[in-house]
Amino acid sequence: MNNDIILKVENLKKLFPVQHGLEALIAKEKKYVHAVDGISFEVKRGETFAIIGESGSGKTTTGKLIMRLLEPTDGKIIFNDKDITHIKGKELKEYRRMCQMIFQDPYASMNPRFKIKKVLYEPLIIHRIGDLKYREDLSKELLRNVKIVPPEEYLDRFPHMLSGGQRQRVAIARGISLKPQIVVADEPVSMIDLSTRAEILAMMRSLQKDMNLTYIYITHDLSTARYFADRVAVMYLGKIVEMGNIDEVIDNPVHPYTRTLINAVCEPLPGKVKVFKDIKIKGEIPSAAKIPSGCRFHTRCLFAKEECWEKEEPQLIDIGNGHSHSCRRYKELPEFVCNK
Amino acid sequence: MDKILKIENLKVYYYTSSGIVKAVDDISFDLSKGETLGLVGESGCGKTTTGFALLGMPTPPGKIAGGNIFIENENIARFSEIELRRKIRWKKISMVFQGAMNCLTPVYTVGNLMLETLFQHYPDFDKKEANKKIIKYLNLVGLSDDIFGRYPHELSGGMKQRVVIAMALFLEPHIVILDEPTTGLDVVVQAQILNLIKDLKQKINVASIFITHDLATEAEIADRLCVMYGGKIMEIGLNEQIYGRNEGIHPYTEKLLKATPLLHHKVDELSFIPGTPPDLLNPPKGCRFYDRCHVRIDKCKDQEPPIKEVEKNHYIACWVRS
Repeated sequence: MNNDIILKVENLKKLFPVQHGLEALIAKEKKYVHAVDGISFEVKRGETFAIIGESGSGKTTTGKLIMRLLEPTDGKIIFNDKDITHIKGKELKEYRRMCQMIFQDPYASMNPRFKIKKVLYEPLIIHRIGDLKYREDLSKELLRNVKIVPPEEYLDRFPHMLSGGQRQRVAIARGISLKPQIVVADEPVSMIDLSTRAEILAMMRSLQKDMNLTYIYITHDLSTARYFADRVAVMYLGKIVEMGNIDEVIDNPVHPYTRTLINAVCEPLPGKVKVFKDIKIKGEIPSAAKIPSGCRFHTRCLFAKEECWEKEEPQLIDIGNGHSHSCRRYKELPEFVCNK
Repeated sequence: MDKILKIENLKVYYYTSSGIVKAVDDISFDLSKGETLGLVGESGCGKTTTGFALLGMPTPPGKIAGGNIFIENENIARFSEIELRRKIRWKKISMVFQGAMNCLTPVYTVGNLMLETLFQHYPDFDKKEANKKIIKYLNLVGLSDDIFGRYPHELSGGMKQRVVIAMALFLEPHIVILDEPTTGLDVVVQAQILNLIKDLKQKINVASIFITHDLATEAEIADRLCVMYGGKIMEIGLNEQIYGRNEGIHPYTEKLLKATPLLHHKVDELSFIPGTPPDLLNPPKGCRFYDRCHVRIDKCKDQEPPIKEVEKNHYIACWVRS
């Protein structure tokens, strides 16, 4: 693997105020939702970096921060050695050409009143690229790249005349039309039928090879992440709890939360019906406005001891091979039993 | 084995302004006491339509266009709305709807919601006994007594889903239909709900139909698997007869299994099925899967394959594989 770092995130935070208006003025103690609460990672050019988490983990907010759809509250985002954390105006628009996004819902991410050709022309028009002829030719080529053929038949259709899978392909075509360097894909296939999912992922992979794209793949689905990604960061309540090579993290998970996630996954194999899933977790996810003390996972961890909530929040511990996690008691944890 | 549910040649069509959509087009299967049947298929295959038809309530403009639905030997396809309401729904058969947890009335407490349901079906039920029954079922689905007085917005997604399951079970129907009960839930919550369903299966032994597009969750819960495509049944068999096998199964099922990524076995290439499901306004003459099938022969184009037994309890509708 190369050592060319395309994206570096340092202690990134995004806090959303809970109180607004008058309430915010008179409140004695300001309350915030700690959506992303200090995360750091690096992404290499050309790789697929997955961010895994459940709802409330902060993964989608992280994606939006990388895209600069949101401005960070603290920390830094460095793209190609340039600090883009607080850029605005012309600089931000320049950045947008290089970092594009594919959203989860192929029904919601497209203006229903735009014909497909307009959907594809729009980014080119906004960034003043080419003339009409260029846009026409490029749109046809893009549709061919995402296997929507013959393109002429689809350019004048409206989104509702395409299936979910076809719409997502158009969304991908739109996402690569500006020849970006990074594509943030937030659950790109979770609303697509199973039989088409693999086709879309395979297509994304071949586009990656052709265009040397870097993917940030955000998902809750560990199985597709294993198939699609090279490295993974597991998030819980705004923090990264484990990170490393995808095979390494899935085969040898260390953090109790990662272990829980892995044992919770279902597989289409026989002999599962009488076996209860061994899920070592208790309680519910705490509110992101009231982060637990010390290790924020301690309220749900079956292995937590005093040091977990009394000491300060643990940092990521490097255990070699690019694998790191944030469980300070990891050497005392029982051996991981995987319900395969 | 006692057949608590028997569906014969069921047809459910949607009568739309563009024409008749043959969403469920002649399907037959049965269900034994205490058994869980997984009804699996992708969007548009007819599985949810089948589920609603079993409650005698196909979504308008859908209608039961033919066939029989025998629940404990009574043909409910012939019943009037009044008979269905009085004798069948929630008494013989109930349903956990897709996304139901998001449809809980926000202005009623959980307890009042369940009381309302109970008194709709049993107006003369004793109030004290009613409260006891509700608490019993809340406990059964892993919720504490105080949930009785809570409002839906005070509960997490997983808790709401447990309430919905309790609501489907507490009047003690003989059959429960669960339509995508874990879709939309977080991974950990999904696993907890699946464990709950496994626990309930042991404790209550009610017959159930588990509708999902996800083969992985079906494998966790069901005893038998029924695969639907284009409004037809492609395959029915015991889970062990289908999962983990590379041959002797329907080509569609085969491709679906190969398209499901596994967590513990890394694959380089995932299978996919190019194309899209057939248009049910004008369904194809022969096998519905013909266009996308990798083992098709000429016969498949014009002649619809009958569903045939290939081994005991295992049926396939395919000219090539049966």
